[in-house]
Amino acid sequence: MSAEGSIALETVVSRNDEPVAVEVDRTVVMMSVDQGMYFGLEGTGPRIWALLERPRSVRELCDALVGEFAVDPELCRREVCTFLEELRRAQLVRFDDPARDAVRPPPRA
Amino acid sequence: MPPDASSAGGHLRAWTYDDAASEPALPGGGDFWIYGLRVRSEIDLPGWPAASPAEPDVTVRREPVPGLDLDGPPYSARSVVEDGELRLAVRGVGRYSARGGAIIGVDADPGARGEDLRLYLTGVMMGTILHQRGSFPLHASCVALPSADGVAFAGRSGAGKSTLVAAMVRRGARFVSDDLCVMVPPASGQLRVWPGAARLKLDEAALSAGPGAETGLEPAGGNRGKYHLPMDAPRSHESPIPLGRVYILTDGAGPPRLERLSGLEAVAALVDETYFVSFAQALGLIPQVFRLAAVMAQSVRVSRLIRPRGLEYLPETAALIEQDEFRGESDQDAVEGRPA
Repeated sequence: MSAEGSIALETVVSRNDEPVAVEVDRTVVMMSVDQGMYFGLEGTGPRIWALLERPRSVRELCDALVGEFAVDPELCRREVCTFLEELRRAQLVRFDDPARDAVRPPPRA
Repeated sequence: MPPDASSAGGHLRAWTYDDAASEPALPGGGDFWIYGLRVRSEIDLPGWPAASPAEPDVTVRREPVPGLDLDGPPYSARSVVEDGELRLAVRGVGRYSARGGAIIGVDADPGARGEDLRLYLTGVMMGTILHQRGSFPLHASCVALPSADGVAFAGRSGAGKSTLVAAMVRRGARFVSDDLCVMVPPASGQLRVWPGAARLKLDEAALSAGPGAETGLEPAGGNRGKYHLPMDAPRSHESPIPLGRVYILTDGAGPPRLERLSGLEAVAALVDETYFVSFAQALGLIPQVFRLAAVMAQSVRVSRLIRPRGLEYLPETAALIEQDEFRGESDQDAVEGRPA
């Protein structure tokens, strides 16, 4: 797991197990007992969270979102990366960089 | 009100002693309905509706509760959690245990007053049993408006729940429950809550706001000088009441006002107002509390009711509740965090 470092298209994003997440009013509400914090995901956040039901690369996430929302691919990638960085800072997801992790097989292209 | 004894490791808090009228801890007992549960109790529970004898959900036994030494002034409290069992000692009252969501042990101190024993038994210990059973006890009092659904007023001890319920009842609302609002696990459709004992706990100042002098009321136990004011009994203790709105009682100056809470704010507020959430935490049940708070937030409208404590704006506050209308909400594309 790469704790720091920038996010790349091949970075694989996984949900952390700890937070309990439920959906209320089109918001995904999460509680981290470890951190003693609540979090709310709004806008496209709940959709991204749903896609992360299994680990996915940033590229996979962006491809799915561009297919679902009328959005410019480059803008989508920038905004998704910003959002994922926020999620990581909140310890809601973790990043795995296959290029730096010899144990993990690379994600399918 | 029970003192806010909390945390797995135990925790001590001092209370002043109030030498109110007392009665001995009476023997007796029977079968009672408490928040939809059949409770077979070796301690009499006046005010709670009798249940026909059948296999009980919860049994209240008089038994030794060991391992909880306690010093300090009367009503000091200490709690421990061990293997999913919560034990609570209250100085001058007794020691209690709650285990498996099914058994409450009561070990009364010599000379304990009946109303004190029952206060902690049907309050914090029953609340703990409800947590253990996977239920959601909100620290709230509830009425049913003549026009619509049930509304619940949530808040800490002394926030003004019972005072507001008394005002709503005087204006024509039907009493549902005081201090605890227990959600029925929703199968589908509307969320419902169980009726409680048909009485309100009020102090003398709140009682004086009533239409006439109330005399000869039973003391409610504890050291806050509260009495039981009888209410009209619900039509059936086996029929839960539809709940439409929860108001979080919040202190604030000036005339009363409402703030609708978003999904995140609503869930966080409902977790905060969960009855003895510190005990649920000590029992490792916070994820359950969070999920059930979310279920409630999905089904009911949650708002802050901001007003000063006391009687000053009571009629305006009651009128505001009666007139409350739906207000829209805005979308935000963001992740926001706030301390739990």
